[in-house]
Amino acid sequence: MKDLSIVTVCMNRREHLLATAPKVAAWPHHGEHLIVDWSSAVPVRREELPADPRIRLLRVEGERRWNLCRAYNFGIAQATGDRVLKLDADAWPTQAFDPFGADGETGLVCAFGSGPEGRKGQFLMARGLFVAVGGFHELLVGYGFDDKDLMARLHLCTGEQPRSLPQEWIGVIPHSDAERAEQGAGGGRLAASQGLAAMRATRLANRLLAAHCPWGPRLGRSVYREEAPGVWRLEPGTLPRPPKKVAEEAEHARRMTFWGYFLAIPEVFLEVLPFSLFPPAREGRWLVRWWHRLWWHTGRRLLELPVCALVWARQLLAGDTRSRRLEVRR
Amino acid sequence: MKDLSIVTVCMNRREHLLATAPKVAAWPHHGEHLIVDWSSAVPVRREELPADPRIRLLRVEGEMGWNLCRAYNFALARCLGDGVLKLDADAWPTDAFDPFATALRLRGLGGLGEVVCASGSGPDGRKGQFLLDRRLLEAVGGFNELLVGYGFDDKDLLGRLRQISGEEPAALPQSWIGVISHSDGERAEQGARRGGLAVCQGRAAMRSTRLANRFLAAHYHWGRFTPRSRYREEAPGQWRLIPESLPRPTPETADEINHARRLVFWGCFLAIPEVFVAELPIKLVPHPRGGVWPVRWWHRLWWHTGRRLLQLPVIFLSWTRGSLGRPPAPGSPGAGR
Repeated sequence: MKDLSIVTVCMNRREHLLATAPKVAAWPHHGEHLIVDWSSAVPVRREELPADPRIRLLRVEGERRWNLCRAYNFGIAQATGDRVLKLDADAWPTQAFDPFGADGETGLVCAFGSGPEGRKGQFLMARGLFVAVGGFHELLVGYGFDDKDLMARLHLCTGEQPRSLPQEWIGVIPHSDAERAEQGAGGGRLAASQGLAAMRATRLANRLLAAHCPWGPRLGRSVYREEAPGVWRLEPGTLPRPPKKVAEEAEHARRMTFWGYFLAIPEVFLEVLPFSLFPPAREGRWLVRWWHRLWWHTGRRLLELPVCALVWARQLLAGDTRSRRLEVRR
Repeated sequence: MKDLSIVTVCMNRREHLLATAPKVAAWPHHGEHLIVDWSSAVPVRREELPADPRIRLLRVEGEMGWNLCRAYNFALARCLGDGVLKLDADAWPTDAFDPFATALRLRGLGGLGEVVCASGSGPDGRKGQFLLDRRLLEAVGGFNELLVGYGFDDKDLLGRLRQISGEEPAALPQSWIGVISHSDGERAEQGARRGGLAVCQGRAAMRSTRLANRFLAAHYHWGRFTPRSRYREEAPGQWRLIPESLPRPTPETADEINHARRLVFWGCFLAIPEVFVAELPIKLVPHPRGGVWPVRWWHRLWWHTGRRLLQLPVIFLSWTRGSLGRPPAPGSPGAGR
């Protein structure tokens, strides 16, 4: 039996990690649980984690924001097992999970999670296969498309669609779209709308980046040096960057999508409105001012009225048609 | 690279082809000029072309619309040279063009060794012309046949060439390629003489296609082993698609992309926020039928009334743009529209 490494990277998700680590430790099938602390504000300490000798804790210093692709490429490069189970800090393998029952008929180990709450982003894979496709696409940032991009490249490489891990094999701690999109947890419809807009913005930008700059094993990726035992830092100058025009297109799409969705302003109008009123995100954070909130509560709702009326009329008509059909059937 | 094939595909661009073919024939460096007539309404005839024995004319029958990716993949599969110069019907190589220049080669590419890999540079569609080693072209699987309509075919190919080589393709100097000048605007804005509404509709359609092609390229990484369209020879030099071989996206992805295309088209054309277009009854903002967007009288009425009304505060605010803002990013989907 070959060794299985579980790889978990987290940044400021201490509560999730401390809740799931004991559940992972209770699972009997892995030889290593590699946890990478991606520059969390409060470093994860080994003594907070279960006393499972299979746990290995590494820390990457100096990262200012979450970057799933770079973080997991780093983590999986440090793993020692022949196969890798990528599990986010909010996920754990349930007792039903059979890591050797997901192999393809061809012996290919490549299966992704299925079901809701981020399960689709978890995978079990031969480490060699992950390396052969170049791992995660390091130009993608923020939430979304990292897993689909990886799957598309795996399909290209193997000619097979990755298999599915049954939903009940992976447990997860549910959390909101706003949290996923790094906009912080918070109540209210405005916060939810902002989180959703931020998520849409990064999803679109990541698709554009993946389309313009397909990733592969021959492309240069981030390199890290070990500063102290278990403590790593990015080598300056190794961070991959998209060509200037592609970066500009992605930033423009991100800005249009965020403000377009959040404030319900058509993109064709946003493009001619003053840039400073609708600025791009800084370090992944969108600068939402009081006038944006005012518009969201007033103008946006006003514009939404005829839309709601049309949707309501449609539902009314659909209900009416359905009841007439039922009467005819009777 | 020993033998060079020039490959040109055209559909209803007879005037361009007849103007450029003699210029290509006057160029001394190629061994073959393969011209594919992609179901032009009036077939191109051999006797209309120069009496250059290097010219080979094929025709694909039964195609309803222009599809650059499939058309060029068909031609590339049938050319004989070990180097390929892809030239559109409106382009020709000038006397300055040296296809054997060492600056056009990438070194040490996997098992392929040194290979020629260069794309055009400059305005007027030169960027869509390529000089490539045939082995390299086969290694990336040629053009992505899932892309349709205007744009992104060349950028997608360049991206995959970069992916496989890890290097930036060389640039063919602008002076090496001559073109019959017609701008991107002309290429896409066929409705320019039909008034503001038609122009706006054309731009919205172009924008939705551009986004859809980017999505398709992101979702489907085209490659050497990706199944592509196949054709059967009905008569000597006359081919037709085997319909079941046509590559298609999965229904799930097709739905996602059609949804995005619909939001972009109606959002841009009617200036309705995409977040609302998604909520509106689909009958009011429908999908295209047979590639044509069904624009009804109420869409036109809204365009002339509601859209203009909504635009008023935008026009007012955009006056202050010079002092407050900066223009959209060049090359961005929204730039220049």
